[in-house]
Amino acid sequence: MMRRDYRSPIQRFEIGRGKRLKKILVLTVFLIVSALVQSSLGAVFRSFNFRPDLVLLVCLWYCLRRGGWNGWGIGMAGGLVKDLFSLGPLGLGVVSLGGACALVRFLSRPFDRANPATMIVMTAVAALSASLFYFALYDVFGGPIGWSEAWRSAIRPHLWQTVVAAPVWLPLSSRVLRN
Amino acid sequence: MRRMVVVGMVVLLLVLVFSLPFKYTSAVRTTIFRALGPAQSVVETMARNLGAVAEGYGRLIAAAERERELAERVIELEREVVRLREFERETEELRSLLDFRRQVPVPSVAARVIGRDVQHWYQSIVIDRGAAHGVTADSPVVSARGVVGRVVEVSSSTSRVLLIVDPDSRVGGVIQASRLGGIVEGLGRGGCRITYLPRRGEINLGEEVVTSGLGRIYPPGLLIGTITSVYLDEHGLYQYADLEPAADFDRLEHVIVLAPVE
Repeated sequence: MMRRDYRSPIQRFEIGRGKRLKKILVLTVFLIVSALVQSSLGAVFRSFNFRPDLVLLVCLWYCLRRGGWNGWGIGMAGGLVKDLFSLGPLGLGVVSLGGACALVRFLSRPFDRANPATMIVMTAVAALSASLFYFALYDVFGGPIGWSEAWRSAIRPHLWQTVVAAPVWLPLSSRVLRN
Repeated sequence: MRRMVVVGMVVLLLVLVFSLPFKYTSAVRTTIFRALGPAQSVVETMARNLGAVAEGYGRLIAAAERERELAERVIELEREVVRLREFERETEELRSLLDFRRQVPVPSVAARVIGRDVQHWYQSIVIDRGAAHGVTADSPVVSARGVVGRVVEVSSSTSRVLLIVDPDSRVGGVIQASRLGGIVEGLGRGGCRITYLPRRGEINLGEEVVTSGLGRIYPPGLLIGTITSVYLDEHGLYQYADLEPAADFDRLEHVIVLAPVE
């Protein structure tokens, strides 16, 4: 008796080189624009020193909704942009944001990544882990830091300001990067 | 034919009525008047009230319209007041910067703060003046109140300034009254402190610390801050003093970039 195989053949959808380049270009421009807005917000909201991590939000949206590279790649690209817009040592942001995105990608596996609640929770996880990775690396390579001072002046404001900005910047990222 | 008879009878009746003496017609009219007087009064009162209601409604509509116009005008004027206050504050700040600029005998460039470091940990600002305006690396940056920092990165149209409160910042400072010298280090957003002060030197709270000019970056005599607390280091060899910076780093809008010290 002849056996029939009902499995459909594996279909590979290759993105054209032009489209891929366009995506990378849009992502790069949006990361730079986010860093510029992030920097300018500090000059506008002087009293609150409001500087949410918009670059992290773009990376977070990308690694939750687009996937690929297990989150490392986009996180490292975002970290590089942040390092270029900061006085900090070049490389710490690359590793810390790359690590945070990989962690978020791993932790979000059981959840519905498109769910707004997941995105907000993962924003908090990413912001906190990125800061912790950054200061752990800074402590090793940049010199000893006071963790209580780092928490008060950098980690805590980074966390709450980024979570507050998430409901605005994540939908914007979705709109810009969707196609 | 029948209609003609009716019309004729009515005409006849009218002729009869008109031909009656006045006293009879007057009595009829008076009777009718008396009977209908209260009713007329009621109707008139109702009509008057209705008129008042209509007039009141009209006034209400006009008042609501006027109120809306006035509310819009108030919002417009409030905006204007805020704008003028902002102008006043900016003018005052620029005037004090100009006065300060006249006092400092070195070439300088006024600049506006357009950005801050994207990381909370680092204390740096971005200003809208760069190499094209004569700004170079290590140019001191001041505000009307005191020292702000020094230029660390320069592009053609913008520059990055390391604030004196950044943990990586070091400025040669001296206590103005006692002339005790030390190094002013940044403490992040908390402010800064002057270190390596002689152990036996007398330091009083509230004393002002100015630049010493020894670092070859800042000209001497620029106000850095005021001493808020004094303590010995853990080995008891030096004194340290916390400073309240003179410049308000949270509200920096305009600064002056001075020419580097020769």
